[in-house]
Amino acid sequence: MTCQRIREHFWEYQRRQLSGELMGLLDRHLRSCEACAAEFDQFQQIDQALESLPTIEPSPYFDQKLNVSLAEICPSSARWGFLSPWWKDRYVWTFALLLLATVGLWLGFRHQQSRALRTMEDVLKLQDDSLGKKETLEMPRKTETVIHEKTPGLLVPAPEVGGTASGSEEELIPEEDLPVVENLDLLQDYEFLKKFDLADVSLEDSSGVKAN
Amino acid sequence: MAEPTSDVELMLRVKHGDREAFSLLVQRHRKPLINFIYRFTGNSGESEDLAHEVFIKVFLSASRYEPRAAFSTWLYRIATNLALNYLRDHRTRVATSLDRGSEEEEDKSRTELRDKVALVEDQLLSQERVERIRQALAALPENQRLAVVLTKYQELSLKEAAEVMKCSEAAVKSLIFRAYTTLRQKLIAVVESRA
Repeated sequence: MTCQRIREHFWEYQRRQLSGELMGLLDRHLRSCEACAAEFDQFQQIDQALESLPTIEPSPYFDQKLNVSLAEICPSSARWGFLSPWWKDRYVWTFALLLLATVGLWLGFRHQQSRALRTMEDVLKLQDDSLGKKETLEMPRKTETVIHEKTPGLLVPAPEVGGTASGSEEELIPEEDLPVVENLDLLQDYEFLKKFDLADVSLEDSSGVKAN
Repeated sequence: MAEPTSDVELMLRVKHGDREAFSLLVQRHRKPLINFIYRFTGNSGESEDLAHEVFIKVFLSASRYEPRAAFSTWLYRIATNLALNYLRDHRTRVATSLDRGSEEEEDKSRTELRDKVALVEDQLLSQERVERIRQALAALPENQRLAVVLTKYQELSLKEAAEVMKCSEAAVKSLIFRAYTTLRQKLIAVVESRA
């Protein structure tokens, strides 16, 4: 190894950062080469001289000034600093957008569904209304007719069962009683209604009608 | 709460918005960083402001920090870039301030010499010696000065210095060798008079 190459290793040699083989080589060279030994001596003196440069201490307000600078540059970071990594994360943004889109679609679907249901309800209501009118009109004909016990051959409506009304009573049923008559088939399933004396009611009604 | 030992761990906490971890990092690195900037730029007055800028940049870039290298390498890389920008922007002003600084030192020393001749002589010699070393260091080319400051004062390894300077270890070694050769030529008188 030439003297020039040896001198290039002074920095590492002084800090013992060379491999064992190179350290041995430089040791031997410096013992045998006076010029390189003198160079190394001067190198060490310069290295020592550089250490004499003083160090400076930070001012006592260094941290305060830094905090003020930070607050001026990013005022939100003090309060929302914990969110800053999230703001910058594109995956978080993608997830948030997807979530918003999903919620938006779901709400839109629900809204449309409720509108459809409302429309359907309206249709059913209209249908019921029209059917109700129809049934009301058809009610006298729909009501079950039974053969009167006392006057065979006379047909009377079902509420009139057990009653003593004459043939002309079919036309005398008040209009407000028609829904009752209409739902009688359904109501008679209940036990308490079975016990109820419908005949009396019919009689009372018919007598009331008669009185009128 | 136990203080985390590694800078990387603290920096990862800073990445998630932990201001306390950032304060710990600042406390740990402010003095070496200020001295690095001072030795590299030769300006003690501006070194604190530049150190502030470095720390602000560290805080703002925390979200992009990846613990691939030592934190100090990353820190000195930022500081080097800022210091180089500063030197390029203030090249004339720095040279003038260095000259003015030496003139002021001379004036000051003359006054002191009149008052306390014997005692001040040693101090003067010492101050003059320090000033000459500082000037010799400041006169080095930027890359040689940076290599010396990083390895000699900041005690970075050749590999770490190479990472900061974005060059090979061999290049750093070569820069140090040339810097020491130049320094020896300039400071031989100072060194020999001391000896």
